[in-house]
Amino acid sequence: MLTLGVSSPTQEKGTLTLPCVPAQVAVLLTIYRQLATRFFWRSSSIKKLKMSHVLYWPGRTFFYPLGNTSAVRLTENLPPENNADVLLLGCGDARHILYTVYADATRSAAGKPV
Amino acid sequence: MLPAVTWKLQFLVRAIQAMPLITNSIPSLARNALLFTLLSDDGAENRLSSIWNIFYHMMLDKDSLSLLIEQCRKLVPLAQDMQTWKLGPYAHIVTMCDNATLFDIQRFWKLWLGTADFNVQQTKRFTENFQDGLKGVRARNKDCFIMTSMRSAGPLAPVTLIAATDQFESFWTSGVTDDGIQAAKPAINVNPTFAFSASGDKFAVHYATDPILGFHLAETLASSGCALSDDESAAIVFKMVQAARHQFNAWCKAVIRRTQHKSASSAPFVVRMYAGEALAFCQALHAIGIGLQPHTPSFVVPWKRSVVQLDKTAYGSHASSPAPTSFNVIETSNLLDHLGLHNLLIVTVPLLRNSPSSTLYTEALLTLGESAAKGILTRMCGDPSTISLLLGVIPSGYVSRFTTRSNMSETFMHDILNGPKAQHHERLAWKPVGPEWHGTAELSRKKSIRFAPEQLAKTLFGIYLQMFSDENISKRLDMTHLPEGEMFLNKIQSSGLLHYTRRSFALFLAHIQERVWCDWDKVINILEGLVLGDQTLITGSNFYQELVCQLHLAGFILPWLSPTNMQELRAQEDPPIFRDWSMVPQVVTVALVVPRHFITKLQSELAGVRTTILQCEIRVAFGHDAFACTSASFGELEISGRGENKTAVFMEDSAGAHGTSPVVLSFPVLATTLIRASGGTVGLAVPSTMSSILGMEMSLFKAPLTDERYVHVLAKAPTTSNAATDAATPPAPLERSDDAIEHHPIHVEMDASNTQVLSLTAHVNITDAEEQGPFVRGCAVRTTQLSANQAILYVEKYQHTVSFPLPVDALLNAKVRVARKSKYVEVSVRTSLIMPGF
Repeated sequence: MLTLGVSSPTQEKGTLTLPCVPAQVAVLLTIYRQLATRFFWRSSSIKKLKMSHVLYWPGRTFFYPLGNTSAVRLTENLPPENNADVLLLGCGDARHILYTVYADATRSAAGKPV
Repeated sequence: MLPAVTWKLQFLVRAIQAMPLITNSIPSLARNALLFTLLSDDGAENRLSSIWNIFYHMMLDKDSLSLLIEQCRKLVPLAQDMQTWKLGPYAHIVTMCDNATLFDIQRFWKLWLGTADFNVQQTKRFTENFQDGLKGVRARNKDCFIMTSMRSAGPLAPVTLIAATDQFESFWTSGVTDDGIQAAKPAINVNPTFAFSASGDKFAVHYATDPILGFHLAETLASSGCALSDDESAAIVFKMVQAARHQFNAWCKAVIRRTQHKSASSAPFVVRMYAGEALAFCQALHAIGIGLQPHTPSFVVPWKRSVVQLDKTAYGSHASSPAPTSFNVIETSNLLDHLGLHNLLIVTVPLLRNSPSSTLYTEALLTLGESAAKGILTRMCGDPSTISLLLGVIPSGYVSRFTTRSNMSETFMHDILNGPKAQHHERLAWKPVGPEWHGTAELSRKKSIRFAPEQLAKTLFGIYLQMFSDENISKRLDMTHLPEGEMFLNKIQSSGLLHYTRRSFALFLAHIQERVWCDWDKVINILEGLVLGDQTLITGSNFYQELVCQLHLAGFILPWLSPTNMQELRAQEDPPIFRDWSMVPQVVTVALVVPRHFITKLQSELAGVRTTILQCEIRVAFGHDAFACTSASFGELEISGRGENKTAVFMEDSAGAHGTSPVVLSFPVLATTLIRASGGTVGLAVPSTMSSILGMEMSLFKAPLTDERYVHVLAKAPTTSNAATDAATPPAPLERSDDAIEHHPIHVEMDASNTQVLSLTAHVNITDAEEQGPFVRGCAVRTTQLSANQAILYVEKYQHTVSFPLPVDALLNAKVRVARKSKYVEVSVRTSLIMPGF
């Protein structure tokens, strides 16, 4: 079977306003709490290649110096004895990191998980 | 009572606007790096007031500005190159993942430092520009209720309604925050860290920016006894700013103790920074994690041809101080609003460590679907249990039926204000689907579930239809019957799904192929038939060639695409474009050079439409194939050689969109597509958003396939002039290991519609010799529930723990099939995760 996609050109009316591709930065945060106990989840496949997202024309840009949601504690789900290797994608400002360090320190001082 | 003023609702978040290039997040990184260096300096605790000003005030007093400038004076030479940075005093806390990030960050530090050398006139112009920017935002937000900060107040959101707006207006008027305590120093200097962005020194700060948004306001407001009234507003503003400053100080002090090793735990704290497109970065980290080189094939950002090349000393195979390539926490902000849930999950899930505590967070702000609460269901493109099983992660709240994070105050506020629900803040914690961690990490490599091919193909086809539901014409027609306001909202909402290309779908299949044991050749064959027969997606057939090409690149086998079939077709058609080629690969790259003047005449219209999607297309007679997975950049191509030895080297124009160089696009295509279309044209087009400007075909440019001024058919995609390696090309099929099945995956039975999981069946071999005796003789076999995901199988007195990937009902609805001769038991259970009304 060999098929060539054939159909008439699409004509659709109206304009769509689309959300943007956002602030694209990553911060990798390593908080070593105790001795590392890491294991790696390895996969046998090799995923190379390019982006899977649609291509946008580069239009007007905004600058987001400050985050717009409250700080969260990134380590809330981790056992206290584990190191935290945290990947932050599109994180904006550093509030989550500051708050996480603060909240973890508070917990250590209390001597038990809160 | 709400005050009787003219107002409109304003949703001040980063949701609806044009596409920023990567460069606009670099100043944020530069600010963050600056913050951590300031906090790790001696005596930082005494400077916290100035540090607050530098990070949260748009206008600065003299002392704060001089702290900022002096810090930049120290940092700029340290950031000269990776070596100087590593030898400097801050490398232990702030490290860079690649040279490019350090270079980009240094560029902003230099710009900030440069303002110290401005002469009087330059300072005047700089200040006036910035003040004009502030004025513009004030005008834009005039008479608005600024509801954004109510999120920070949680259940006390109503208390902040007026004060939040007052604080916002005050901040955008003075450029500073006022807590009513600190003696106000005159703040007449522009804070350069707010002034520079990708737009140079043109004001680009987002109009929603407000220092208090990042903090927790409920506690302060609860203890203050503040009520909802105009009179209290000033007091509440002070309280909010005091709370924010107090929290910032406390957090910073914790970081100071940490960085200066004064805390109880003297373990290190490292922040690694990287500037680049998130999906590509995750792919690069994964490639390194599985043992490939740090020079990865992923492009750093859209519209650039440079590829991700991470620091060898941290990411090489012989890295001296290896950086993590897998994580126990992944925070993705609200990227799913911008990139699509599946695009995000298929690159991040492989980076999540296989442990029950590992968590991947997503946040959504845009409302999709029929209601805010059901938005996530729309994003998942299918039944949550099914999608979670396939992806390997599941929202923890969906399993536990509770969450510790409430967003009800937001829903409540929307309801009492009766505003359009364009936004709904929803934060989800995704966990690896169990029970794979009950064992070694190696278990995760095994395919833990299996499906019947036909059921899986139909399930995947359902996901395909939802992934590309924006191409569903009946949905579009339904929209035209809606009232104007509602229609606008629906358009935004439906556009939330316009993230996926056929490559997304192929990568989604490749991702789940890692987890699902099945006859995949059969699955792909059935799926291809379903896609071909589909009439609901109006452009489904236009993207068929791209889908097949991407499936092939993702490692799936389509029998008709065999090299033999292809050579036969070539011999039969003898297309001129391949006459110089001795050997034609199954997939080639088409590079299209679009002279700038074709774009220039439309550039203002393109900029006017907030976000414009571009795609390439091939047309011949009545045939039209579209290619949405396209790489683009500004520059020239240098061509040499002929036939399959033809190479194209890309010379990038650093001026980008503002320069005059052509736009060069490239996309992979099946050679068979070109053989059939050899008399046709290749073009650049806009799919559906600008029909009024571009006419019937919505075409920006097109040229005959054989016109070598504009079109090049290449065995290898264009390489960059400065790239050390260019593994981005050619797009070679992924290698898949389909190792023989050594264990018994859980069999998943779908319901009649192939959307929901009907039952899960585990296979238990009775291997113990002592147990086999009574088993063969016909002893009783029964099950009981052990935990949400586990059952116990009793064979007389012997017990087996049977684990399932989803919560199940093993108490009432378990079925046991006993094969006494073959010595195994099958335990079949229904999942207890049924969503009413879905």
